[in-house]
Amino acid sequence: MSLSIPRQVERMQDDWPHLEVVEQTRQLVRWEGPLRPHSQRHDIRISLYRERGSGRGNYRLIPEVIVMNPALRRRRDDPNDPIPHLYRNWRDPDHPMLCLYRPNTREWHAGRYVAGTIVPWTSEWLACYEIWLATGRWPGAGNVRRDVSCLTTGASLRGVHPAP
Amino acid sequence: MTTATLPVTQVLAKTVDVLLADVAIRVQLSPTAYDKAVARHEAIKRWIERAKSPLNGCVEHFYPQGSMATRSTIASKLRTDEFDIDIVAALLLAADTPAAAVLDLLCEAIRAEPGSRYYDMAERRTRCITVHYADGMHLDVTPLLRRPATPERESWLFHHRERTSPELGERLIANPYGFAAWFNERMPLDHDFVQMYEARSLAYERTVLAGLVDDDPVPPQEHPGRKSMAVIVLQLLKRWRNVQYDLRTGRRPPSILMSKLVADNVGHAATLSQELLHQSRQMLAAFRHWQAAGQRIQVANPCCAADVLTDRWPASMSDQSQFIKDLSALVKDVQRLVEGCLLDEMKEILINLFGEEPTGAAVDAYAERIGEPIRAGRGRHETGSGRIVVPAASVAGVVASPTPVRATPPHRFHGDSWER
Repeated sequence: MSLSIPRQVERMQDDWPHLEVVEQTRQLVRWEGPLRPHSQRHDIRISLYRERGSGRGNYRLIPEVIVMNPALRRRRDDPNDPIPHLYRNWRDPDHPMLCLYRPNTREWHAGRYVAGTIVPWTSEWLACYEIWLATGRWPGAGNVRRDVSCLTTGASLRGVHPAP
Repeated sequence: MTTATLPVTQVLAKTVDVLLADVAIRVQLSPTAYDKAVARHEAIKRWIERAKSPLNGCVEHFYPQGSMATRSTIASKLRTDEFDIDIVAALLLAADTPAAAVLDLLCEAIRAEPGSRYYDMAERRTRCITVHYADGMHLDVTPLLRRPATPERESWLFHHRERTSPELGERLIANPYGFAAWFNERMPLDHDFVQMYEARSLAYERTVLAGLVDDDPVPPQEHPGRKSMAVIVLQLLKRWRNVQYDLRTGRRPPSILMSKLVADNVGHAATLSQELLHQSRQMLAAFRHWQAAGQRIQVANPCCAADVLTDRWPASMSDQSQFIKDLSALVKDVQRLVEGCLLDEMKEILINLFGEEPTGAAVDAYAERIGEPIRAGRGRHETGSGRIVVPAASVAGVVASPTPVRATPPHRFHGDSWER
């Protein structure tokens, strides 16, 4: 069963009070605020889009996460090594979207709370990113894919939603 | 979703505290090496007191001094595991025995005749006899003569350069026993921290020594991992000093002076990084005070005013200025660590302060502790902050966190690399 945007907002307020709603409509909610997986504060923006699904009354919820500050950067030790696990953000090329879960699996679906999945996964992504900066190794699980499927997923969002 | 108030350690709540503790563990005398030092201490004591020794019946006390007595021993070299263990041989000799005779007699007692066990290992120094072991450990045995009618174990310390006239020998007043007792009394045993640090020391020891057999077992000692937070800070400060002075000539600030200043300023800070910052600032303030007065710092043993801890360093105002510059940079760096920064910047700062090897190993171990549960889908986080919680199983001495800790649902990162 899909969760409504107001229920997502309510749960987020309970678990992550520092992530504040900066925009909310029937189709969209956007939160901004800090996460601190190690010592450094990272300011993030989470957008959740509501999209009509195939059946009557069904809809999809599509989350996007970008890091606002400090800006993502490559390793000082190896500036040619690209940052792993990101989608290109066609609307805002300077702020790529974090790849937090495998699409086309049940890791994320509209019946799950952003507060219970996307936010802690973002924290883990940031923790792994910092470790990658320091060691050159990405400690978390996942595949870095260079085929087009994940980019297609990201690109599909471009046509559906207006640029922020 | 599983929600629980899981036990997490508060004393190591911050990444920088985990890394500082792990750096300290990697540069200190390990529990096994400590046991070995104790065994060697006992062996050499028996040897000096053997029937045919010139000092048979003349050893009043035999006890650790310096860092061995304050449990703050660290490797003396940056790139090798060499440890200097300081021991006092309190001798029963005539009060007017010349310095050269005292040192020669102890050297003779240790070296004995050619072919005996310590003959090729012992070296006569200006104030002690150093016994060199093949594994890099050194035992510095310093002869002292008790000064009668003075406070507990106040003694004469002897100074004489070998192959110079005996008339050039000197005697100084010292009380290392009193200093160690004074120091240890001032070190608070912060329960949570002590337990945590001890558990981490033992865990590290197990990983290093897995599969090795101790060929020289000794009876169990009171565990050397049980240390106050301020002692760990002292170890870190000594390591930092060793790194700064690695390529410099001349003397470096003596450990006993640093020990005195740390004990004077035990801060009862909540975390290791805060205590390090507090101690660095206090040390800087002490030196600046003397510098502003146009004098070199003067510090005496609190149990013996005649035992001057600054008698050989700083030799000049320029020595002192250099150390003040070093301390100023240290305070700035530790301040940055306490404020919080990205892990790669933290690593860079820690390498500059404590060296490449222990920092790299500590960061790698931290990365594995964070990464393994994430890979296995067993990650946990604090709601509110998003702090990644290190598995409690690897840390003993934990206390309940006031912040809810939740299991993170399993997932796998996906996607491309960002080719900007």
